Amino acid sequence: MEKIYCPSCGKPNPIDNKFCDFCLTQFHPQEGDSADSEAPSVPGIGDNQNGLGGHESDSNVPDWLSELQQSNEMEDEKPLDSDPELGQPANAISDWMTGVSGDGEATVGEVSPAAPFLPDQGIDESQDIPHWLNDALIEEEAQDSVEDERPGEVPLGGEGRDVSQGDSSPPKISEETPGDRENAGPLAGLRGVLSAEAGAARVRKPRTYSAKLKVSTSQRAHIDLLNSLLEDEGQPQPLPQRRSISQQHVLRLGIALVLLLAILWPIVIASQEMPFPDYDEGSAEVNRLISQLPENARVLVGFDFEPGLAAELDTAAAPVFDHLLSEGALLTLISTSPSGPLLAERFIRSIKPDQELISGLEYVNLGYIPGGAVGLLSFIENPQGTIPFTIDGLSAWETEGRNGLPATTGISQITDYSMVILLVDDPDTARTWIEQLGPTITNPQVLTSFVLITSAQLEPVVRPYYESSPQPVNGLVVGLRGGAAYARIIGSDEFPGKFWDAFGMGTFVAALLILVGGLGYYVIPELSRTARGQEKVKR
Amino acid sequence: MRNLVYTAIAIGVGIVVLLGYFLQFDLLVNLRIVLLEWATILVATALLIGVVNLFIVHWRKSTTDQPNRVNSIALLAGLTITLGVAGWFGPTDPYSLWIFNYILIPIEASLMGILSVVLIYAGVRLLRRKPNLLSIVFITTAVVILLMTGPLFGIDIPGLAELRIWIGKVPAVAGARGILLGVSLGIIAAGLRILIGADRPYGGN
Repeated sequence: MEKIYCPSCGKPNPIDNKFCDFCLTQFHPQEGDSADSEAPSVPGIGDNQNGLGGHESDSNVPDWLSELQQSNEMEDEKPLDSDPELGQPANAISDWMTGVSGDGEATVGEVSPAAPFLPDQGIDESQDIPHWLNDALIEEEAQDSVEDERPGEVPLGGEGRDVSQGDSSPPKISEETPGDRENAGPLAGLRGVLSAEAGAARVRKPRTYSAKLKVSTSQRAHIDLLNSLLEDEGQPQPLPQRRSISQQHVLRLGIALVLLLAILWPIVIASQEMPFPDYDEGSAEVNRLISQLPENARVLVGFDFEPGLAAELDTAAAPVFDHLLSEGALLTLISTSPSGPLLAERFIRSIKPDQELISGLEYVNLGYIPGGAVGLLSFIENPQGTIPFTIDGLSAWETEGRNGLPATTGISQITDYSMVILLVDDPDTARTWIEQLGPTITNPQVLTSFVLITSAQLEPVVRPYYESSPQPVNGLVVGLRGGAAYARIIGSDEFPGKFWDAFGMGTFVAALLILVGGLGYYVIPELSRTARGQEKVKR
Repeated sequence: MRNLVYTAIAIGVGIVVLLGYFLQFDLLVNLRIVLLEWATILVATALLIGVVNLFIVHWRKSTTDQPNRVNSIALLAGLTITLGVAGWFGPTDPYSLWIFNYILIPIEASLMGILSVVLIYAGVRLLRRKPNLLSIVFITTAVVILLMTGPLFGIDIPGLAELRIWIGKVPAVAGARGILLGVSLGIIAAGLRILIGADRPYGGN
């Protein structure tokens, strides 16, 4: 089936259609459009009647257009269906339109769909286009490009019309704009003249947008600043120079030197001028307990301190053990610290350098009890099962088939010891011993006493146990002061007096440094601050 | 299921040892003693494993290119020499005691000496950093205790010795009692949580 293509919207229609099914554009010329009429039956002319009507009195309207207007008025009075001339050759197309179409031989019956209004066919520029049409096309193209930038506006062509509503009335022309007036060619001066070329037929290159980002000056400045910050971030920054000798360094060094001199001076001059303390309650109680021990009493000694405090504890314990050994006590040494057995061995060998105690006979070193509180409890519950051998690998305990070492003869449980002495520097270790041994020691039927020889720092922690009732701790020798007090009680020369003088001088200088230095640090800035405040008030 | 077994063992052993404190049945006491000996052996084994692990870790560090590998090499050397001397000659041999007397004890004693200097320095700067009433009380107490712990050249300052005794017996002991009570309550709470299975330090959810 042959089709005719609408010159306005470019859509195919049956060949016998008078109007476009889609945009209602009239296809064929009316009967009244005789050959004498030079007005082309250009689709859209009829649409523009309203527009033309407004210019009837316009003196600029050419004659041919006036005739066309009259013929249109006559045409309006005829029903379209009664037009017998439909299908006749389109002899009404004027020469200029023929030129635009490029195919002047087209007839209605032979209308070629591609003839001049094919939407996908542009104007053949090789053909002769009148200069006025060329100008009009150029202007229209420019106007279209402007309209394209206003997406809210619907173009005047048939593409924008809503044909789906079935409105048979001619499409109304939208508001006139100055650009609607034709300014060239035979239609010059008319408004709303449709372009002879379908809009859809014009193929344009797609609009290209610049890929470059538009950056303002201030934004550029911020970008530069950010770039410089990021570059600086990656660069290693030199550390601030620390002064090799600061005020704090001088102060620390000064304190160390003063303290060292104060401690060394009595040792160098062998000064033993400072008196021992008169009386210490805890030391006196320990002295009483040791004095009441039976001959060859078995004494369990725990060495649970760190080697760093060996000087203090060895010195404090020396007079106690001097007294103990003079009473003929036999010692069993034990420790819950890995370094304890060696500390015990070292201490025992240093008590009497001229007369070393004999291992196994006068003392037994059982070594290390692993497990902390659990191991200690196990030893208290079952000494023979927990530590069956001495540190030298000898069998420590007396059994049925074998005699034990003299120092442990007759010992089967912890309460067989007459006394338990603990050398300790750590609050937790002291608490563990007291808690595990306390329930056994505090039993009124048990005669075993429990004595602590502690570092001075531990006194506040262990004193509550000593002062409670019943006493889990029966005696307390605290630090060098307690040892010195004990030495004074028993009249022993085992306590080295040169250490006592050095200790006394050291504590005195330390107290003086704290007092003077603290006041100096506090008072001097306060005075200077007050002086500055007064100066400000005066000003 | 496995976690349930762990929990049951832990709770059972804990209850047996706890009841052994209160009930003097032979079966309970003997069971408690056996369990405690097992625990001691286990801890000793863990100590050995720890030493072996320490050796392996520092061996790896010393054989790879690490920044502090010198420390690891020194540790391995010390461990090997001490182990060799004590193992060959015995722990109470004079050689073993020499290492103890002339290496371990001087190092730890020097650390204590440094600590005394640092503490005096901190005491000097305390009033500058925190000049308030508590700092003044703290400094005053420290000075009084230091002065009266030593012989103070035989000088008897009236009231100072009594003040030192009062500080040692009243405020210090009061604070220590509070700490001990807190520790005891914490231990009881922790023990109960383990006994009822709320805490499972041995593993499991």
